[in-house]
This record gives sequence, C-alpha cells and structure tokens, in this order.
Amino acid sequence: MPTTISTEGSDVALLSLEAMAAGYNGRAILPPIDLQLQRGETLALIGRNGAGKSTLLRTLLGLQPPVSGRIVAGPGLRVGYVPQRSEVLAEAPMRVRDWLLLATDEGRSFLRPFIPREVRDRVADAAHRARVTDLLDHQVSELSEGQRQRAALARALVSAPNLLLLDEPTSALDRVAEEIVLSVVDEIRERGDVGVILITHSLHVAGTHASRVLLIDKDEHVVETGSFAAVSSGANFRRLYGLAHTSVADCGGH
Amino acid sequence: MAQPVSEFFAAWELFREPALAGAVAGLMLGWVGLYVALRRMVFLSAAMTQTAGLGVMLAQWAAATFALTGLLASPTLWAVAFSGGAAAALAGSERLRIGRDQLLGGLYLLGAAGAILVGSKVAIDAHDVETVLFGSAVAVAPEDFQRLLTTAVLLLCLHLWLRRGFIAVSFDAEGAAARGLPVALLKLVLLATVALAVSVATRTIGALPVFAFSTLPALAASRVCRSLLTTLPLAALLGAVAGFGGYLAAFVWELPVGASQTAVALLLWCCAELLRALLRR
Repeated sequence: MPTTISTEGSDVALLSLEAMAAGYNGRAILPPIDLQLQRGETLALIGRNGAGKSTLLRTLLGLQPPVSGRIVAGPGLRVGYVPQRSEVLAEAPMRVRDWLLLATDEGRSFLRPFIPREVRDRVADAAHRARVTDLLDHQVSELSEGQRQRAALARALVSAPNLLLLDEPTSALDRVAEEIVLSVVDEIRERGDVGVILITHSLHVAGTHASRVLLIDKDEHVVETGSFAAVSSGANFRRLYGLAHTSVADCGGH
Repeated sequence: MAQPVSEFFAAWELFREPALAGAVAGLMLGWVGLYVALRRMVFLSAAMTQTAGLGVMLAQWAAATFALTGLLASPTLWAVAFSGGAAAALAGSERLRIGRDQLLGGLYLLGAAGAILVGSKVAIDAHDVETVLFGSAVAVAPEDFQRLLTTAVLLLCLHLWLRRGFIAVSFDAEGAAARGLPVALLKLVLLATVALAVSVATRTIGALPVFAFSTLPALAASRVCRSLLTTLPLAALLGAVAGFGGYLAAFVWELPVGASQTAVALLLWCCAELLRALLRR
C-alpha cells in the first residue's frame, strides 16, 4: 500500500496524495496530484482510454512506487480492491465461499495451517453486506457478471477495509446489474464509514455516484479535481471528451 | 494374449519398484499439475519435461566423454539443472524480450531434438533413449525409486503447508500482491517445485508419462470437483491410479509402459468429462 505511513496532519483524511506523480521507470506520466480523500466520500477517477488510470491505480495499490511526491495513509487505513474483471479461470473449480476465503490471507498469514473461526465469521459478514450470502456455495465461474462483481465486492470487504478501490466494476454489466452493484457500494460507504475510489469510463456513474471526480489524461497532461458539475463544465473536460452537453443526464450512461 | 493379473502380483518382488514409482510420480505430479493445468501452462510442463530429458541424456554423454563420476555424472542433477534453467528462462521471458509461447516452443523442441541427437552420440542403445523420452522402462533401480519417493514426500509436505499461498498467487496474483503476500517468492518456489518434480520423475519413469501426469489428472479432477481443496487430493489420487494402473495394464497386455500409463491417464480424463456431462443433466 501507500509508500509513506503517517498520521501527521491526516487525522481526518483516509488517504492523502502530496504532489504525487505516477509513472514508471522514473518517468512521470501525469502531473503531480494533490488530493485528500475523506471517509464516506466517493471519488471517481475518470479519463479516456490510455489516460493513465491503470498506472495511477497500481501506484495507489502500492504495486509500483510514485515517481515523486508521496502517498500518506491515514491512521488505520485498510484497503479493499475490486479489479475490473475478477481473475477466475472458467476451468478452476471454486465456490464463492472459497474465493472469499482466499482473499483473507495477508502478509505471511498463509503460513498458518488453518483459517481461524474469526476470519470465517468475517467472510460471512462480508457476504451479507455485498448481498451474496445465497451464492456462497455456487461456482464462481457460473455466476452472472453482476453476481460476480458483487462477490468481488464481498471479497474486498473480508479484510474490513475503510478504503475501497474499484477498477471499473460495472464495465461489463447491463444497466440493471450496474445499478445493483453501485447501490451496494453506496450502502457500504454510508453504513461502514468507508471511502471509495471508483475508476469508471461511465460519466453517468461518475455524475450520479461520486461526490468528487478526478479527471486525468497523460497525453494532455491533465489532472483536475472537483465536483462532477465543476469538472465537466471545464475546458479540459470538453477538450478530452468533445462534448457540447455535460450534464449528468446528457452523459446518458456509458 | 493377455497375462493374468494374478501373475503380476505373484511376481510382485520384481515389479514393486517400477509399479510404485509410477504411482508415486503420478501422486506428486497430479498435485503440482493442478497449478500447471489450470493456469493454462500445459506447454510449460511439456517444455520442462523435454529439457529434463535432454539433461538426462547429456549427463550420460558427459560421463562417457569426460569420465565424470559421482554427483557430476548424476542424471537427476543434470535433469534438475536443465528443467530449472528452462523454468528460469520462462520466468524471465519478459526480460529476455521473447514471447512466452515462442520460448516454450523453442525449449520443447530443443529438449526433444537435443535428447535424440545427444542419445545418438552416446554409447547406449536406442532403447535407453526411448526410456528417457517415452518412459518405456520396465524396471526402476531401487535408488531411483528412493530418490523419487523422498522428493515426493518432501514436496507434498511443502505444498500442503504453502497451499494457500500457491493458490493465491496462481489464481489472484494482483490481489495477493496488494494484500502483501510475497508473490514473487511464492511463484519462484512453486515453479522450482514443478521443475524438481518433473526432473526427478523424468529421470525415473521418462518424459511422456511425466507430461501426462502433470496435466491430465488435474484436468480430470477439476471437472468433477467443486473446490480447489478437494481437487488437489483427487488429482493426486488419479495420478497415482494412472501410474500404477498403467504399469499393470502394460504387464497384462504387453504394452510399452509410458504409453500405457499415458493412456490410462487419458481414460480417466475422458471418464471425468463423461461424469461431468451426466451430473449436469
């Protein structure tokens, strides 16, 4: 996770980016980002294909270091991650219950011979919160896309996170399934005092489910944050998306 | 003309080592093969098996040419070195800037053609080359069986202990990395154990059945199980059945051992597919 852990000046913020530049091989691909994420807030990360969203996500997940600046974790930060498409091979026999249990190991805990009862209880709770309790004995490969994304959400919840990172969780879903998944996310955020970073292609999703958006583009060197209304009425947004109309309703969905 | 099964058990002293070697190799490879088969790395096993075979042949060539003795002339050590080298090359395929599939194909062909070429230059008869490549050995030396058994016991203990880590890095590497698991180390250990299992088994029973045992039992078990934790022991059991049953079938119908063991593994896979189709009705 974050490369610097500090409680200084971040007793409210879950996560702070301080002039943090993401990139690889020592080369920044995006301008430095200054940002604070609070509990109970959803930040939508938007941008075109190839805008640098994946690089930024990998940096936030701690899978690659920032090129400059720093990421400051608030006290007790625990991150849950939902990938765009959950990697479960069709041939692999795996029940939802096992898939969730697989996500309970952290650090060196896989060296313990058995999974403790307390961890199994956490799995049951996560399944309840993501509305997949009735799917626990189903094969993951046989779930619909919407059910699978809810199971992936439960997977992220088993570590009792206070920050959820969602990488385009609804990109493969129809409108109905998308609304179900996002309503579960909203519910978790509201009840669990959780912060959410939601990467999405859908301007409709960003406009209706995020309290703030972060617009990025590596080719145009754009990093802009604010409410969806403010960002979508700006010149950068218009240039990148080429839209004449920028209200949420105009964005229409996907 | 089939031989009675009773004759096989009447001559158990004679057939004990090779029959049990097939069972032990099948058990060990069935377990580790789950990671190979379900990660769609079937060709990885084929390439490592063939390079291990080349290592065995080169050990014999080096021993004859340079009068090597002891460890330096150990076919098992050469097999481990070659399949380990193949595994390391595959793990570093991105750094080598060679496509993984191209590298797999190249290593497979290098191992297969190299073993035949080297075999033709070693003062051993063609049957010995066949033994390495196709597992046509009727007999297994007691020391080879002991080595296989020790490797299998140690390797299965390690796999039982690290099973959650291996499953995590095999089926959710990115998530495992985000949760702080030592992904690179676990992948390295997993690949090393596959290389070790393949090398020791290739030296003992030959390349063809080793390739079969490291793919087919796992594929069969995954068709009828609902959880990885039951698939692993069932794959090991099916591997053992294929190894022992194949040897028994080779005796009864006077068949080449390696091909017979492979055929039994294929039969088990077909049965598993059939059972799955019936269960789904």
